[in-house]
Amino acid sequence: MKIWIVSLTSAALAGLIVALVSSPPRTGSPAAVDLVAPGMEQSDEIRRLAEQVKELQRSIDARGPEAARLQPQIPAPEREAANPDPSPTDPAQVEALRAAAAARHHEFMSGVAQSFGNEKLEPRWAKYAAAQVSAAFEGDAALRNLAHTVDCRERTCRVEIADDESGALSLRLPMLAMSLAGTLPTVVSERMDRGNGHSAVVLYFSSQNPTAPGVASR
Amino acid sequence: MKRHALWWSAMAMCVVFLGSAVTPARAVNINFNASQCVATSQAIGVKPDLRPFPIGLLNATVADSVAVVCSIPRSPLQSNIPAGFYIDGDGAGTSCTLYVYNYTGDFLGGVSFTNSAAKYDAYLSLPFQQVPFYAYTALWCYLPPSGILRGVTSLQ
Repeated sequence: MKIWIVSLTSAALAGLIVALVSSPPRTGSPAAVDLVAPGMEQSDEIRRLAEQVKELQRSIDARGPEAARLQPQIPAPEREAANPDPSPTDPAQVEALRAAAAARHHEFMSGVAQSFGNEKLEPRWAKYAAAQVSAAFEGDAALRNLAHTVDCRERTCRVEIADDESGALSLRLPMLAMSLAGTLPTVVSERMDRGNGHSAVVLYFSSQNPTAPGVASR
Repeated sequence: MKRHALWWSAMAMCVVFLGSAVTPARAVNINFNASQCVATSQAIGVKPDLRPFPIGLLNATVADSVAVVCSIPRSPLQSNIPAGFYIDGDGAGTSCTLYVYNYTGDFLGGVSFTNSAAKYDAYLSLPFQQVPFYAYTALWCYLPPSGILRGVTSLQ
């Protein structure tokens, strides 16, 4: 009997907590919650649990205004990123998702740039990799005429290419990645504003391939 | 003792209930064969004669490899899940690059493999930051004369 009572109470408690967590912060005073049906035997354990739930509810309600104050301080893109709608149709939601994705990508690229900055120079590898990159540029008629810089260190090459805004650059970059597949199998890229009305594309080619092909493992 | 057991069983039920409420669900993987890939070998001056499935050169006397490009269907993933793909086929000397374009047209990155075995079942993945919600993925492969590309699985 006791076990049944505790089980039923636990289920009710769990449902209540889920409802509290998933509902927006309340602003008014909470109504009393009767956890035990009339006529049921209220053991000490149940009474204690009920008190704890009431305490939890009071605590959540007390935090409601605080959460409401904090919410506007979180940028909209961050909020969208934290809880994205899997298929948004509202243009404002779409824009928020795009802004959040752009922010994440920029943050990711900042980390890549920092890692590259911390790389030591491995002269032999750097010379070899830079030659491979230069050969790839020379082999592509559209790319060879674009101003670019190549800086290779220990396992990564940073390549910056001035964009002539013709649209050719973005189209050629997969081919550039393909032609370097043997030496530098991974590449990440970001467009940068040069501040003079022109932009450049910065690419980090890496010799690290976290996903080398092999025998089927699935 | 019994009192404690009842208390802990109640708490365990709460935890299980709450845990099941927040566990993210993953979508179903997308498998597709390579027959929708298109040849892009204009550069070598040869109009490739492709067999449809698995895609590859029908006339293996063509000395050069054939380049094919495939659209990779995927469903946008929730944050923090890397985009993973399996690429399957035959032929030593095959090399492929999986790459990502943003909706703005900007190239965001890619990952490549070069295969030296008779068969390949290559797993490629990209960090989630490189495959944003509204980005497009594509696969570019150079197939040797006897090489074939069977298909791709987008892990979801």
